[in-house]
Amino acid sequence: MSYLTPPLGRLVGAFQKLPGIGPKSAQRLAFHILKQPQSTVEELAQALLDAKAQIRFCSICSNLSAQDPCELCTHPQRSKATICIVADSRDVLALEKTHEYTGSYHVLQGLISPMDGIGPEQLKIRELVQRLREHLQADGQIDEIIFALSPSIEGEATTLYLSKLLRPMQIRMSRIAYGLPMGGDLEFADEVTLARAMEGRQEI
Amino acid sequence: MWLQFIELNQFRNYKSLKLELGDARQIALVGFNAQGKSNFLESLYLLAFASSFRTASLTEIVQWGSTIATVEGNFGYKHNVPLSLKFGIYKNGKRQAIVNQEHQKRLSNYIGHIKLVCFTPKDLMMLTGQPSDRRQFIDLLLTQSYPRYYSLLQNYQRLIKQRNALLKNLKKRTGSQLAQELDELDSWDAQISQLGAQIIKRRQVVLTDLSRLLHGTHASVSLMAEKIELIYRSNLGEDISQMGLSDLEQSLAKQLKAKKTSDILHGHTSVGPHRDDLSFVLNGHELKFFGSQGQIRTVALALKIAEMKYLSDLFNEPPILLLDDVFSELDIKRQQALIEHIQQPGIQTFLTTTHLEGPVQRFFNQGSKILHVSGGSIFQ
Repeated sequence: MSYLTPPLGRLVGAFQKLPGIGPKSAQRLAFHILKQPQSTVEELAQALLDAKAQIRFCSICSNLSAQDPCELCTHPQRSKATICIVADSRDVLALEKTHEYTGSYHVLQGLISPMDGIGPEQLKIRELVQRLREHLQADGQIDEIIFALSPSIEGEATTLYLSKLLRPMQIRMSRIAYGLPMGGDLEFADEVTLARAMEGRQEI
Repeated sequence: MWLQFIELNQFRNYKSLKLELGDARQIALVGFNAQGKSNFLESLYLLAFASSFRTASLTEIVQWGSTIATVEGNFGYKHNVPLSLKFGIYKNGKRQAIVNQEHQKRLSNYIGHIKLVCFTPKDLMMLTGQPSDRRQFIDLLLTQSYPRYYSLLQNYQRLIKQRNALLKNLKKRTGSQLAQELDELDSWDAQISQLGAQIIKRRQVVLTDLSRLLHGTHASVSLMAEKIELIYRSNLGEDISQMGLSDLEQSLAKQLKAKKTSDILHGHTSVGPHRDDLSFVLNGHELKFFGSQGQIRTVALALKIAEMKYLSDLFNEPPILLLDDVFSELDIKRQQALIEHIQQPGIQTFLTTTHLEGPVQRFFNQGSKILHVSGGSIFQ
């Protein structure tokens, strides 16, 4: 690789550690930064530091938030009696975009995957059990727990594990449907998705 | 189905090859050793299955100094619209899979378009070799027969990897942590039983059909009154031949539970279709232990012909046949038997040999193509 003056080399190296950024993109980003006015660069640096310093896991739902409890957990119109379990904060964003769901969330921050050293201990499962217990003890009602985990073997294992763990609490549990994307053409759906949709067919 | 046109780029010793085959059904690739005959067959195999019958590390296919090796083919069908496929291997191991100009993200949507039967000297060893060789044989046939099988198998293999990783953790655990992880094990076992049962069922159904066909093809090749059976050997410890899907699932779940303690001790999963085997029984005796060399060759040949018939019947169209230097392994009588079976109209056969002689030479008549292979080039 060609010579880079040390501070620039460090910047390129730092970018390269980011997901999806290869050596060429890292160089492009670094040179772009150098061309920016001082204020823009300071803003970026400050934004990075602030995000890291201020964002924590919400003590109720384990979503990422600068305030604790988070905006969703303190929202007066959101139902506390329905909890949707997701793997990642990005999944909350995706579900929120639908404007369909008015309950609350619980973010596991991952899925069970022994190959990657992730077991129930590494996930926000203890927090979930604690949350449900406290809610029930305070005479609160839980109407439903909705599992919205990805349809992978790890998503399935996590769903099975949690549903078994929570069964003694006698709460209604459900999972989102698998199937065809809306607006898609049946003939263009791949075989696996189509077979899954066939399995999950509903009476009309 | 048949191959009409093929193009190779930076593929082993082929720098660039374009070959128009039209409607030719018998294609002989003739040449000295190490000129590229098997490489050509390998490219077709790669196009069909995104894997090789010669190597597990696909990157060695990429020509030295190049970034990508590609193979592209156009296929004609009797009962279907034409198909074009392209498969590429990058030097860094990444793959490119294209069906009718459309990039496929999942290999499960790529594999299975081409029906292909490949016969190499290695297949003679499959009968007596490792159980994994025989599982690979049946899995490849199923991948071509049922579009969903490949992803079923992939998911199952991933489940086993996850379970094995957990088993290794469990060995080190005690107390409450152990109890928690044992619960976790149950959630993997539930999925393994479910997918495992589907795999066993599929394999069993295919083997029943194949065994029936083998019975007929073996009689025509061996010319003797011998009885051949093909049996699925599951390690569930009970007779599974009459079991339905839910019985199989229960039986596998029961066995996973029973073997739990020893599985934890050994750190791997000892029961399930990933440990199953096929066995060939000739006149009531296990071929692997009691078969003579001649008997083994006869069964191997009859099995390939049965495989061809199976795919022909299922899709109402014969598969493409690759014969990599197998005639030299067979005596005249068996060579003739093989030719009789592949002479049926519609079957496209690719055959490699160092020289055409005997029954094989007579097989090549008008409408067939004899191609001379030399140093990574093909001459008509």
